[in-house]
Amino acid sequence: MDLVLQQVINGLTMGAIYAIVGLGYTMVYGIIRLINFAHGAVFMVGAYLGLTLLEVLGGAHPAIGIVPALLIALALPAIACAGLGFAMDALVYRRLRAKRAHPLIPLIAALGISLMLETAAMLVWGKEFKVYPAILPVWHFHFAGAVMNSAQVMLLVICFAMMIGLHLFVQHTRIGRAMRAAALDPNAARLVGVNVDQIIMLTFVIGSALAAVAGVLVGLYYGSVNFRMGYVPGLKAFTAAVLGGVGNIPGAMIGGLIIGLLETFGAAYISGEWKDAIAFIILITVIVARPTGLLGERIAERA
Amino acid sequence: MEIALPKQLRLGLASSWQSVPGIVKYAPLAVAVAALPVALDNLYLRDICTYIGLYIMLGMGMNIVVGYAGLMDLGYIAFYGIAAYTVAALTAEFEIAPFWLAFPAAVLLAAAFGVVLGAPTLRLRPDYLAMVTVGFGEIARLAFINLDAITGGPPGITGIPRPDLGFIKITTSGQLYWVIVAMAILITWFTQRLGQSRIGRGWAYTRDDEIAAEAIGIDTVRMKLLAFALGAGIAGIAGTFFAVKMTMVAPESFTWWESLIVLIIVVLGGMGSIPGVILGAVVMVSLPEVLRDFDDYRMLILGLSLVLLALFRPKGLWPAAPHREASLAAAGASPFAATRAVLKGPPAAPADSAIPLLEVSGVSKRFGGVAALADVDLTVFPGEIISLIGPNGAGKTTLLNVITGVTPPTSGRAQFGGRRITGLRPNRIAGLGIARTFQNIRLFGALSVLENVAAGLHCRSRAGTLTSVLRTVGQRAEEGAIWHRSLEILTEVGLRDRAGQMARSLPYGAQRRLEIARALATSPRLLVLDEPAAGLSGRERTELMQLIQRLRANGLAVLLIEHDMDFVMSISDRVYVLNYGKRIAAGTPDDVQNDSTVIEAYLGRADDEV
Repeated sequence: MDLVLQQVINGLTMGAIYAIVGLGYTMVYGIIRLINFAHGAVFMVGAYLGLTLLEVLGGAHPAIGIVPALLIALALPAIACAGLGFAMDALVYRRLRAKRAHPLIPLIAALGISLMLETAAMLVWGKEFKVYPAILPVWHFHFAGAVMNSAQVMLLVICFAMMIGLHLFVQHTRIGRAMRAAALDPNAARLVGVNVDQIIMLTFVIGSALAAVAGVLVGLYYGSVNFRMGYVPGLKAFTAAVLGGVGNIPGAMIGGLIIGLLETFGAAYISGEWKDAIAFIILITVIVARPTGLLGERIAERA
Repeated sequence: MEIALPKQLRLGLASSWQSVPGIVKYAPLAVAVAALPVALDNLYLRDICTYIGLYIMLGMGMNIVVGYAGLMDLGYIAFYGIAAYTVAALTAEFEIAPFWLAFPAAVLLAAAFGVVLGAPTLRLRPDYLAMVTVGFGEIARLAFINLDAITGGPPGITGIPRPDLGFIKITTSGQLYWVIVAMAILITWFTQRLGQSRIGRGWAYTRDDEIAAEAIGIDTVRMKLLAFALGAGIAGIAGTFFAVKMTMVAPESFTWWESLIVLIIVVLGGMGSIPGVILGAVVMVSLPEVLRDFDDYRMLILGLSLVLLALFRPKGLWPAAPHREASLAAAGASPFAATRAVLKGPPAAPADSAIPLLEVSGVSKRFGGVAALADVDLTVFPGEIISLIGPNGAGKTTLLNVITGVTPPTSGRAQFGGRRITGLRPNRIAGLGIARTFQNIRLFGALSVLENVAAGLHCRSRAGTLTSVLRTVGQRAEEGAIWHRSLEILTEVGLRDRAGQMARSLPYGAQRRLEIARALATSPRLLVLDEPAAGLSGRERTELMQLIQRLRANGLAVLLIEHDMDFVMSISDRVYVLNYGKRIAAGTPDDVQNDSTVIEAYLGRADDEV
């Protein structure tokens, strides 16, 4: 029983990460029907930036104190990656949209950006795994026979706070309403005065910032990072978006949690070696059997 | 006449050079290049050329999938790996089959995986397909690592013997080199010929506009599946020779990165372009050798070049040329002139004018809570011109979509020539003899006018993969008939002079006529036109009316939606009026014009107009 609960905790931890990264895929896809392949790489860049900041601030024992150091190491990468998301859109995707390129062309550009980011990270931070400073005090929370450590607690709290925050933002603000309108029908939204290009840019910015925070949290949770760390979680996060119904923000959150849980249980009770295959088998099954996902997709018809 | 002669001569010379099979022109060149490392006795260079050969094969297969059919396959290397492992397991690990048996088994298995993966996924959006293939590639790699009993686990399988073809045994790596060169030439030739055939055009139509392709009888799912299976099979051939060249296979040869390299080869060179793919393979194989000292920067450069290509040269370094036969035929140089007998027609239907050609009964269509059509009946007799009128949103286009199979009805049925057509896919319905045009013209914009018309003949011709590649006598006669008939139809609609132009570049009225010409090419019994006169000038409208009357004189029935009442009332035998999804009137133009319900709902009273 306690083992099951333990798997649930571990599954939710990774699931929350997939959910946060999946939000970036789903928001962008919902409006412009682009699978931003570079999104996983943004997550990786965020993780590395967090690492560098923590090292600069004094490693495991920052002079300014743990909480301010953590805040800086989460906020600055988020801002930097938001800028990265902005740049991607402004320099590449927006131009391709203006040219009305064949849908495979932006996908190729996304692959190129992903490759550039990964290689750049490799050149800057090296090919080897880098160890994250053990800044978090190691606490263990025991309850009902299961254990949760401080990194997991922090990860879950921050991820759920971000999910709730994004949900409130999209549902209850003027800009959020414009985002939903643009996702429903960009042309109609444009006609009623929504600056759709600005909204698209915003989805890149928000998605990238979220991915960066997720990257730092994963670094703290696993304790190490590598330039290839974005690829597989990126694919799984995309799977989460599809599972929940692409373009559907609560869908991506639920999809992420489900993938995390299935993967952890699969690894524990079926086979650890096939752990990574589980998400891909889910991906293929969902796409073939129910391409609109669990909660239904919310995407614009191709203009 | 005097000035015409040199032009004819030039054309003649050009076409006789162009009629020399590509393999005769270019294979000696390829062999000469391949002989270079052998002549120089340079093993390092020969090794690089071997890899170029393997990647040319891979690139050609990927080119069919990405370039010809416009599908994205990011797990392509899985098929290469499946074949390599099959050969390794059969000839080395279990030693149960000689190479000449293992080779076809490996290729067929790779193609079979392509079909199994493609069949359920090819109806999806192209980007979803890309993700499914990424997932498949990862699953395949994990299977290579974890299915120890078959794949030998992480170390893989070693000691793969050199190929024994039965009649000849390859013993040295020098001999194997020539086999790989020969295979690369063969596959290049195969891919090139396929691209320039009925099959290649079928892919182009599917890629450019799936809905339009379906509407004129092209089975787009089948075309995509064929591309996927051929691509996988060609990857299988490359994988087989990779295994015997390396004499071992291991999981690290089949990573995501390898799939990406093959994709880059095709995108960099030019999607759909044969010389482009060759150039791409040469660049991608030799780049790491040239940039050996800058290996870490190589991927950065590649990533940047992908972005720059997408932005500034989406067609690649050596873009694909438009179809050659099309331009030749447009110049009137088609050697097979008057052999249209080889083209099939739609299945025979009763020509008795008392038996309905099309019978729609009780058709309803609900979109959520909205009833777009409610219990609509409609009958078309052979040779009739029927108009469908009604205010915007009355359900006219929805009715056409139900008839042509684009939208399945919620209830009710449609019969055509005594055969039930509800539930059939659009391409089957087109095959039975209903051809349509679209309200917002759907042409294959990047293809020539002639190729657009030829698209309509796709479902009336039959050349398959093998006959297209071999260019059998029958296939060449059929191609000749396709071009000949296409030119005839273009003459009929007055577009003969524009045959070689890109469809997109035509003025609006000509585009409307071209769409009708394309529909006519399917030799329909019923022509369905959605607002054919919209946006036409007065003269064009008169010409259109004359064309429709000519077609009817030839026995064709026409069903059209139109808002231009003068047009409708002067051309129609009978008129149906829809309002809010219901049929509110039907009868001769006179009956309908004097019907008070129709006047109320649509036509309006004379005193309404001020």
